[in-house]
Amino acid sequence: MRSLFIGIFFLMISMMGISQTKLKWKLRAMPELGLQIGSISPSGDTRLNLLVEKKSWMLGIGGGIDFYRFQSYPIYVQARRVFTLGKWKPFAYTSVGYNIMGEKTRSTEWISVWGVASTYKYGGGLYAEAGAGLVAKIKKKDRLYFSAGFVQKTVTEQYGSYYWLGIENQLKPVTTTNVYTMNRLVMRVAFKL
Amino acid sequence: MKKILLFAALFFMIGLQSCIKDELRRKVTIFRPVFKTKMEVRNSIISDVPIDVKNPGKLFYKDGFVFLNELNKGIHIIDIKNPSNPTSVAFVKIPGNVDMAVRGNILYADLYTDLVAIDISNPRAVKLTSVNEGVFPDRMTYGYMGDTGKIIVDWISVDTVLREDEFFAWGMRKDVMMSATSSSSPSSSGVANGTGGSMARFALSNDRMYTVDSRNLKVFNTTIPEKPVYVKQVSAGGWDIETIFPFGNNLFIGSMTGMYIFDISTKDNPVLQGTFVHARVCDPVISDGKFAYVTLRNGNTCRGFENQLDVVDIADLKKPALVKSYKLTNPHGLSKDGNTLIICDGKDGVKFFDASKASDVKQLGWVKDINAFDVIAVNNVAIVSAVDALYLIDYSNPAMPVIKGSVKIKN
Repeated sequence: MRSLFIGIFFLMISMMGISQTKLKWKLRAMPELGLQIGSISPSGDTRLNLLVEKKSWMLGIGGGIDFYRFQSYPIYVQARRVFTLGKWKPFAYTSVGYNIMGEKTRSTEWISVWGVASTYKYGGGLYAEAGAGLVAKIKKKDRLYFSAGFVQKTVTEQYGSYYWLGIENQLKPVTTTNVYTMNRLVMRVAFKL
Repeated sequence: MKKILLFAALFFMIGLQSCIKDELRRKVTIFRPVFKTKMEVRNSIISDVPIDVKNPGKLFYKDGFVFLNELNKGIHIIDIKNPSNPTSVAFVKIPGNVDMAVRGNILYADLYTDLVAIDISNPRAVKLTSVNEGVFPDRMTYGYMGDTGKIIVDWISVDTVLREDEFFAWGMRKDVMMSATSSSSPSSSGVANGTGGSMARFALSNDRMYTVDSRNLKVFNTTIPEKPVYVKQVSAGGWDIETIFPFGNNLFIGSMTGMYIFDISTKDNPVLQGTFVHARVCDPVISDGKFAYVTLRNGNTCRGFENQLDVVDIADLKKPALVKSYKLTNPHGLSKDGNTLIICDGKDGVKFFDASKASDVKQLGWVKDINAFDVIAVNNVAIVSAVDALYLIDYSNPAMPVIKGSVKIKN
C-alpha cells in the first residue's frame, strides 16, 4: 500500500515534469461524477483525474469517493484516448488502482440470545474500470465527456465468529473473511479543465 | 454513423448487465470429524501421558485428585495432595465427555451417548470396567444424525472458500462457560462418593447416580460401582435444566427459570417436592439442608438482568421461600464448607462469605484478578476453575484467602 502511494507520487512528479517539456504534454484536471448501477440500489461516485495530454492520449492519476455499498476511496492510474470519427469524438478509457476502505472497523451490538458485540475489520482491494463514451463540445475550449463503463471494487471484511459442532454441543472460535467484489455499470460525465 | 454508435452503446449496456452483480466469497474454517471405531475408543481409555489443559470443563474431587474435564476430549487427573505443587499425572481420552462423577474407585463419565465406568483405584493406570450404551440419547440431537458405528474423536479445521450461495449466513458468539462446585454426598453402602460441582449434571447420592439433561432426570443404580445399571427416567420438572446437586434425601435441580427440589427417599423414584421460580437467568444451586443458595447471572445464553445470590429457606420443601437476595457482579459456581460460602463471581474473582446467618451473609475475603467459573471446597482448599488456570486457594482464614498453587490453561 505504502509503495503504491510512493509510486503514484513519483508518477505525478514525472507527469508534471513531462508537461513542462518540449514534448508539449499539457496538464489537465478532469473532475467527474458517476451514477452506478449494481446489485443494490443505484449509488454514485465522484472523482478527480490529473492527466497529461498529448494529441489524442491522456495519461494520469486520480482519486475519488465511491459510495456504493461501502464508502471507499479509490486511487488509480488512468489512460484514455479520444478518436475522431467524422464529426464524432468517441473515447475509451481504463483505470486500475487500489480501493481504500474509509471505515476500518465497526462494532455491532447483537441484541439476541447471545447478547454480544462483534467487531468487523475492513480492508481494501483491487479497483478497476473500463469504458467508452463521447466527447461533447460545449464552448470553444470546454468539453464534456459522457461515458458508460464497467467498474469493479473489492472490499474485505473480517470478523470473529463461531463454528457450531453440533454433536459436541460446542462452539469453536473461527475467523471469517468476506471478500466482496462489487461489479457495477457506471455512467459518467466529466469536465476537462 | 449515429446508428452504429447507438447500436454499439446498446450492445455495451446489455453486455454489461449480466456482469453487474456483487460477488461475495467467504473464507471460513470448517471442521471435519476424525472417526475411530467403538472398540478403538474403548481400548484407548487408559491413563495416557498428561497433556496441557486447553478447554477445561467440569471438576470433580476425590481423595487428593482433581478430575478436570477437557471439553469433549477426556479427563485430566491432577494430584493436589500438595496444593502448592499440583501435578498432572494422567489424561484419560474419553471423546464427547462433558460430565463425570466418582464413586469409590469408579469414575463415571459420559462418552457422547454412552456412560462409561472407569476404575481409578490407580490414577496412573485406569481401566474401563463397563459401558452403558445409548443412555444419553439427547447428545445426538444437535444436528448429528445417522449411526456410523464410529465415534468422533477429534476435529480437524480446514480453511475453505465458499461462494455466496454455498453458506448459511449467520454468526454468533458465546463465552464458553465451565463449572463445578461442592456437592459432597453421603454414601450408605460404605463406598465414598466424590465431590462434584454446583454446575455438574451428574450427582451421586448413596448408591444411586442421578443425571440431568435439558429436561429429564435419569436414575442409575451404582450398588455395584463398576457396573452401573440404568433404572429409569423422569421429568426433571421443567426445561432448560442446567445443574443437579444432591443433599440428604433431596436433589436440587437448577434450571434457567427456577430451582426444583426432588425427594429421593425412594431412591429409584424421585418425586418433585417444590419449586422456586425466578427470572430467566443461569442459576447453579447448592444446599446445606436448611437453605438453598442460588446464584443468578445474566449474559449470553442466560439472558436475564440479574446478578445476585438468592438464599432460599427450604424448611418446607414444598414451599421454598426467599430469605434474601445479595447483589453480585456475575456469579457462577459456588460451594459451601461449614459456614463459609465461596462464590465465583466471574471477572470479579472469588469471594468468601460468612453464611452463618442466612439473612445476613457477609463478605470476608476476596481473591481478585481471576475470572472464576466454579469451585469445590475441600479441607480448607478451594479448587477454582478459572479462565486462565485451575487455582488452589487456601481459605483456612476466609478473610485472608491465599492462592497456594495453580495449573495453567494453555489456549
